[in-house]
Amino acid sequence: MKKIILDSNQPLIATNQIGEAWTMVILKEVAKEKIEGYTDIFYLQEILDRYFYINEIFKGKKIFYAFKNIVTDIFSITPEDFDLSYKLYKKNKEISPRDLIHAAVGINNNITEILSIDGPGFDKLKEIKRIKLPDLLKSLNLKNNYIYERKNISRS
Amino acid sequence: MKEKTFLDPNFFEYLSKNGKGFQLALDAIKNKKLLYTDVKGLQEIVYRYTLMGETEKGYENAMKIRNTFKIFPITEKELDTQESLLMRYPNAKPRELLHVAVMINNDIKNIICSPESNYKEIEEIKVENIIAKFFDI
Repeated sequence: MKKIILDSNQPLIATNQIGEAWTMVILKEVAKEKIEGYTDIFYLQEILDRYFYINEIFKGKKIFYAFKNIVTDIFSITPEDFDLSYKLYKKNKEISPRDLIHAAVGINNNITEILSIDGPGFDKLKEIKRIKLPDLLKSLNLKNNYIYERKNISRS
Repeated sequence: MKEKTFLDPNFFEYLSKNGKGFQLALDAIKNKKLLYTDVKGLQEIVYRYTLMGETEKGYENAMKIRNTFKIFPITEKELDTQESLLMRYPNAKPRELLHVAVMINNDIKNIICSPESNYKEIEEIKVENIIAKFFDI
């Protein structure tokens, strides 16, 4: 079964907060246990922080709980993850520390593919591969559903 | 017996804003026994330096903390505790409640933090004001 990390943008995209709702297709696949979709504690915190600072913590909590319950598992963040993120930084000084800690968590949990819209950082890392949504949908033979959902969204 | 104490790294940020450098602040507390922080605290140090365009220095200082104190991981257990705290303190900052969750789960009552933070509103813990004791601010 395919194993991927889902970044904190995925539930926001899926709930139409910042983009297009067909990311929901992937989350549904995770919920149906057809894909193993993981996230980490810091990604979950990013959701709460984002909504707290725009005075919409209630909305943030709803998305936080939904995402928390959908994912296959939530990775802890350990001091060893921090150590690895520092090692990665020494080799890739242009990548944001935020991306590096998520990458470190993935690597330490043997998952090296991440579904993320944050391209510039992850694309420079050799140790982790960023997957784009259309490519993931295609690899899972979900492209038709994806197009179908897009049409439905554009009609609504 | 000395009580365990948690360190929120916003303590360093506050001192820095008041002209006291990181090393000076670290020297003031490094001999304090039973001082702890968590991995989010380390990441927050790096993040704050990154905002000033000094990521490298941020990692170096975070590693000083890493090598001086015990660092707790953050697990799903802390998320569950944070969830209860969010219900009880709906206006509190999520980041502060996550640190409090680490404290509760590791049986720590005292916290050293910036006076600008809101920990004093959390009944489960006690803010230890050491800034007046060590610094002329």
